[in-house]
Amino acid sequence: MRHKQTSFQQKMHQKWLLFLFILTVLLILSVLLSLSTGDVNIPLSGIFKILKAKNSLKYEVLNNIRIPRTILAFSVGGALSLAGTLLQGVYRNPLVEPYTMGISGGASLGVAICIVFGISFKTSPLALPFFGFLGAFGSTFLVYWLSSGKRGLNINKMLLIGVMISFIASSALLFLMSITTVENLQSIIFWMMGSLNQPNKLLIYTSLITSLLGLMISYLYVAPLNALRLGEVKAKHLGIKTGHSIKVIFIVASFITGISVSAAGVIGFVGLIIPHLIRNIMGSDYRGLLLASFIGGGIFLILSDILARTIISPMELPIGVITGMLGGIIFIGVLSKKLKPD
Amino acid sequence: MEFLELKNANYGYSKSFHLSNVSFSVSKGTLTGIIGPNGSGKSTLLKGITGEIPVLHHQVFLKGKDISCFSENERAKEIAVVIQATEPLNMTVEEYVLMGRIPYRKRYQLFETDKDFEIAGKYMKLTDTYHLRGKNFSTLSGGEQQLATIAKALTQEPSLLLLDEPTSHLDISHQVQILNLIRELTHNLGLTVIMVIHDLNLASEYCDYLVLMNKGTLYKNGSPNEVLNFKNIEEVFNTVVITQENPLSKKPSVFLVSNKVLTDSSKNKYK
Repeated sequence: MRHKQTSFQQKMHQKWLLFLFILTVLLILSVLLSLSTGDVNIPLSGIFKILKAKNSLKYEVLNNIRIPRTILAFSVGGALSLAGTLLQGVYRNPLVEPYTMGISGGASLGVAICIVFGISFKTSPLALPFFGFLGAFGSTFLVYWLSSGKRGLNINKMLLIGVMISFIASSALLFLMSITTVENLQSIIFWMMGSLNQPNKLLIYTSLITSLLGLMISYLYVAPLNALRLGEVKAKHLGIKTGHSIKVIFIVASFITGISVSAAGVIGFVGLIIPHLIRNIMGSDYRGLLLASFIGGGIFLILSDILARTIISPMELPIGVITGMLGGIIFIGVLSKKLKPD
Repeated sequence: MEFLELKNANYGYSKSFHLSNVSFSVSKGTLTGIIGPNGSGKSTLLKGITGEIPVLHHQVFLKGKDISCFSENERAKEIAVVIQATEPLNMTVEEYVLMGRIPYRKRYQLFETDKDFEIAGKYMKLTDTYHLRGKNFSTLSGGEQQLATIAKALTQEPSLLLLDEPTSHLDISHQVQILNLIRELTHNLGLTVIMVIHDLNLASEYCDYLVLMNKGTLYKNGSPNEVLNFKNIEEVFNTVVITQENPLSKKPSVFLVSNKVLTDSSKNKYK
């Protein structure tokens, strides 16, 4: 049919497929690179052989250290980037990310409270992640509760309250840091800088499963997200239950962020930069954007982690430092090239 | 059974602004204009029908069914709304028009069907925006954006089209182009259209039926000849006007009378 050949929309769908294919190839390459680089050098060609043989030191390194770490990098990067994309869609504001919405502030505060006051259960490996998650969800709930009124959610109010909660949480955090011991101070700071060096495999797999689940749920809300690009009122005119959709999207974004924060600490910027870059390439249609941001975020964090492990090897840089620097520079580079609305 | 019926409609944002006891009905395939001063409740009236303002039971009926019982999705398949485009949108015109198919998309369906493309293409051609389909929406002129917005609304395949001031900010040629299109939609496609419109002369010229609102209630409704006489207009708008019949269309035309003319003419009277 004629309209098939001339449809711009269908050409765009083909462009998405191509781009997603390229991203998948890049993902595979960065996973292989991540598995092979480190103190113990493993050649790319040898990875599969070692995994099959199952009885060497290199196998132990791969199986116990590098594979879990790469999985964590992928799922945390994907989750943060997806959460950023979702929140930017709901708020129609390109500067929103999970960490400007009070989620990371709450998580940091939760962890700090656990470190400073929870002397008895501080030793359990799951105590800090649990408190981080609790803090993330507590602040989310607070933002949500404070900004819903008689006439439903007020999106602008929600944004402002999120920023305020973030400020209050970081002030409370500073207060705790100023009254506690040097030893506690160090563990708070270490956690705030983020690290993918997570020994607990349960947390790693939880993080992978929840972020993939988050991606799937987000795809059920792709029509509301696209309609919301026109604004809340016009989305309603297209038959979208905006209040319900915004609620679900917000909860999904907070949940996957909360899990990520509890597994890897505070890693900023991923949720801001990756969605932006992908939007610039693919456009703002969420059907392509969600998956691409997820994979893009995963790639970005895997590569950042490789840098963090190798730059001052055998020491390790905090991953948050790398993402902040790398992300900021890339962002400015792209921004100065072209500025697009939406 | 009337196509759309309001029975003692009482709704609004809050206690401070509320419609009180508005009753009128609209037949299928007609063009109705809602006129009245700023703050008289024109947009509120529209928003109750679009679902933006919740309406209690037994106030608004579409095809005999109580509109408060429609689900969001059912409503979007029956009623399409055109309001002013306010923000820049980074999407092609085709992408924008295809959004009109969202109410018809199934939960797990990601992509448009051939039928969606066909319908969107049909209405882009009808609104003369087909040649713009690859362009970015933000780069269009105000008139072109309005036409594309109407194309999106028609792509929803509604039975009722609501427009909030479709011709404001447009020059006279685009005003006429859009109103001609709207009249064509009602008379040729059998679409029922209700629009809020400020310009009394355009309202008179194009609408089959007018609803004059004042202070949150219906002041007068009927054909343009019944509604647009100087008495009604002076009473509601608090402005001195002269009305005269347009010699070609036989519809009333409204001329405003400025202060200066008014004082000059009264001086002449006493000379």
